[in-house]
Amino acid sequence: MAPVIETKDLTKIYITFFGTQQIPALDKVDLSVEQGEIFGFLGPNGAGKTTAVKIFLSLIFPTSGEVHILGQNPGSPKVKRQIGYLPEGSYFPDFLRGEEVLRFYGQLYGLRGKDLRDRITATLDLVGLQEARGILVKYYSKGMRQRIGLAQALLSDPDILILDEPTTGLDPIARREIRDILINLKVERGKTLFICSHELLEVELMCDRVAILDRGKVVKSGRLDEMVYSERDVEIVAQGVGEKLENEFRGESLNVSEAGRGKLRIEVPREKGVFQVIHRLEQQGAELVSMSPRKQSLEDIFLQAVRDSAAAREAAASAESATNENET
Amino acid sequence: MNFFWIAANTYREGIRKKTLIGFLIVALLVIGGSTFLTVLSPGEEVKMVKDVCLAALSMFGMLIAVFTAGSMVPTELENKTIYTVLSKPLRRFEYVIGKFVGIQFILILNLGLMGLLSLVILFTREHIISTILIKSVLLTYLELMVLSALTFAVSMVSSSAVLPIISGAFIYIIGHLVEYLKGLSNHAMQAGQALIASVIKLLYWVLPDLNKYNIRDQLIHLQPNDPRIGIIMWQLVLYTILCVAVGICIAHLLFRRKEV
Repeated sequence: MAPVIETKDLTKIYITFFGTQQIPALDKVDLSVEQGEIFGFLGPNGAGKTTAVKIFLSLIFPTSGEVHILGQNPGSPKVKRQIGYLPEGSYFPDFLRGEEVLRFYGQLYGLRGKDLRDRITATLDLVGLQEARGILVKYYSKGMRQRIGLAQALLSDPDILILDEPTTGLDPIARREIRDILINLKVERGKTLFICSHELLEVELMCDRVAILDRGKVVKSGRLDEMVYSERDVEIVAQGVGEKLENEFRGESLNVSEAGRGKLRIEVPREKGVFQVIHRLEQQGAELVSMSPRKQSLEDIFLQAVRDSAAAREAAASAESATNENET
Repeated sequence: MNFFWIAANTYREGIRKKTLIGFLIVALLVIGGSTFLTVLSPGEEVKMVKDVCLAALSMFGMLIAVFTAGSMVPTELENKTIYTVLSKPLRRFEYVIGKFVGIQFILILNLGLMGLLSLVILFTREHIISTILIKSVLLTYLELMVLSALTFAVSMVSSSAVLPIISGAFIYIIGHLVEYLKGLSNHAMQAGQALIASVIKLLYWVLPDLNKYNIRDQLIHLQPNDPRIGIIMWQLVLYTILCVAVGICIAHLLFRRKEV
């Protein structure tokens, strides 16, 4: 099946008004989002996430490269009819009431009459804004704005949801509610969700696949479960480890830490030989308490990817300056 | 069809915008107050009322037209509400048309209310419904339609409302001085200022001649040697359609690939 969202060598360079400066925002980005998955698009501030989303919605246009949404040009109304979009910050016409916001956007989707009224009621119920439907949006709290934003994105029952920071500004209960709604959309209704977020924990709880963007480049991407387990260490907890053996482990660059009540936690990378470590513990008369794969958090992976990217940039810059010096 | 919903929403924005409501209230107060100003010109009370009503219609109409046409799109860009609108199944051309039509709804409402009050005040004086005043309001609307179309076109290049509003006021002022521009250009040429002469000549050709709509005074005060009003009115309608079409085409070309 063709990807729902696909980019090839997607590049965007902003050019200042007088053309004196070029600001690269996206650099040959390749993405492929499959139907029915929740895709997390992560990256630090200024990485280019919102630029990519704006290109998907034809709010801006790529400098080069290709974008296909459902195999078609992203700008066509036919494609946009299949997309629900929640912008970061949830900006809506503040002269409208909550219900009017939904009616206006529903009309743009071609919804009319009873169908539109029923959908507005159902969507307001879903996001918990039924009681605030008659209040002007300018009086909404940040959380309520986020909810009305989600409501307008869901209103037309689109196949693709592009959500920019969907849980920002929400309290923990609301965050859980929204997360459940989004997961249900995927599980029960087969929707495809493209989520840009800084909330790494939320992403980790929801997403099937992620791509990490840094300075316009995808520095890491793949299935989330493979990512968090593929670079795993094994974590061994043992009791009665002698000081000598503990020092030996430390000398071998193993990560050793106290696990309380006289226990020691030893993180053993796969290549170091887990069974060898267990054997040495047995030989020294230590008691094995537990052994489990150490799962990396998405935060660890994210930070590592961004650091690696920065290091690679620095290395490239030094190599370039060295070449220049040699030439001169 | 989507342009209609954009127009309806623009109209709703216009009637809920405090600044526009403020302009309308002041305009209605001035028109309403015209009846008290008649003490200043004994014997010419009706003429005084007509003059004040027309001046208020023209001035406040211009302010509302420039402010509305100049601020609608830049405000949406500034508030970032345009993101959600343009992400919907809507062509950019529909958005442009919808915004412009919505602006016209606002202008018609405001001019209609001002015109109606003027009509009522004149009726209390003359005890007849002044069809001449109705034609005059129509001419004011045609003039403001041209002004709003050009201001709207300028607003497509700006992300702030300040530039288009200033430009709109400039178009209004220069638009009434277009005939002088021709003479001014000739003077500049004779003085050896070829570049300045060319710039002035360009303005003369590019800007609409808003003085064409000044037959309002002839309508109201009925000069004996006036040309046939009906013919001039139709010519002005065609001239307005042409200017508006040019304004909308420019707006569309500027907005078609605008990055928001």
